[in-house]
Amino acid sequence: MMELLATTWTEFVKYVPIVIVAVVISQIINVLVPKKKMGHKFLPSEKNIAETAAAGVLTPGPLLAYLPLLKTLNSKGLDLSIIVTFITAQTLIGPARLILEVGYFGLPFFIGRLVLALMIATAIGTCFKYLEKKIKF
Amino acid sequence: MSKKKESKLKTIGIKSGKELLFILPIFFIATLIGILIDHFVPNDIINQFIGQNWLISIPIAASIGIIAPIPRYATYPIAFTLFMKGSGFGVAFALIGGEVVFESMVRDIIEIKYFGWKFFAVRAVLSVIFITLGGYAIEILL
Repeated sequence: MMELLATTWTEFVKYVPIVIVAVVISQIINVLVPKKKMGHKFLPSEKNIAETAAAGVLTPGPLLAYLPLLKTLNSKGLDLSIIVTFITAQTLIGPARLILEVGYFGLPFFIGRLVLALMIATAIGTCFKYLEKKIKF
Repeated sequence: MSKKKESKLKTIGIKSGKELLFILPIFFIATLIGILIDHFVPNDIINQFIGQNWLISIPIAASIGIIAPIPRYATYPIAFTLFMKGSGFGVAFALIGGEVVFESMVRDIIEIKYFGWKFFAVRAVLSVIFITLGGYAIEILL
């Protein structure tokens, strides 16, 4: 049991700095950026969805660390299609997976997954953009 | 520094502190749950649900990857075992990709709390569809 707690603590400490930075950034945005301004900057266009997918893929760490920031951005007017794109891309693949994935399945598999992760996240974001007109989330 | 700026910095500090007090214990519990599942849930339980026909096994793998609360990175050894047994790249892709939903119960609860259950449910359904299609694509390409 002590061994499990020690492993948990090591994993926890590894990601705490990312959580702290994400929370502080979310609060900076929350306090300093007006709602209307954010809404205009994150309109759910195809270009923004694709850019968000790329940002999600490049973002390290667990998604839990970024959820408060996404919630704040959502309350400032960020569209749900952009949020779902980021969540999908961020969870599908990430920089930390490179070594692990190449070790298990080889470089072509990682490259394939990277390309498909971008496409899947963009597709889900685009679907959300249209579904938002039909469903009230 | 003006009083207005000082007040805003103070607000940022207080709000960040409150948010961290809320999220850090949950984050610790989520990490512990992940470690416990990694140690105590045998891979065989998941392995037996995935067969050899990739047209069927890819959507099954995507669904299992999404439904099973397997923590991030913990699917790799399972996916690799299946791959070594001849399940192909598509099943590995679908199983690993499935982590996109239900990876951590705590994270999912927070996501539902923040964005609503409809957002979460639609995301889960769309993920199964597109991860399955991605699995087929990688199976054909590699």
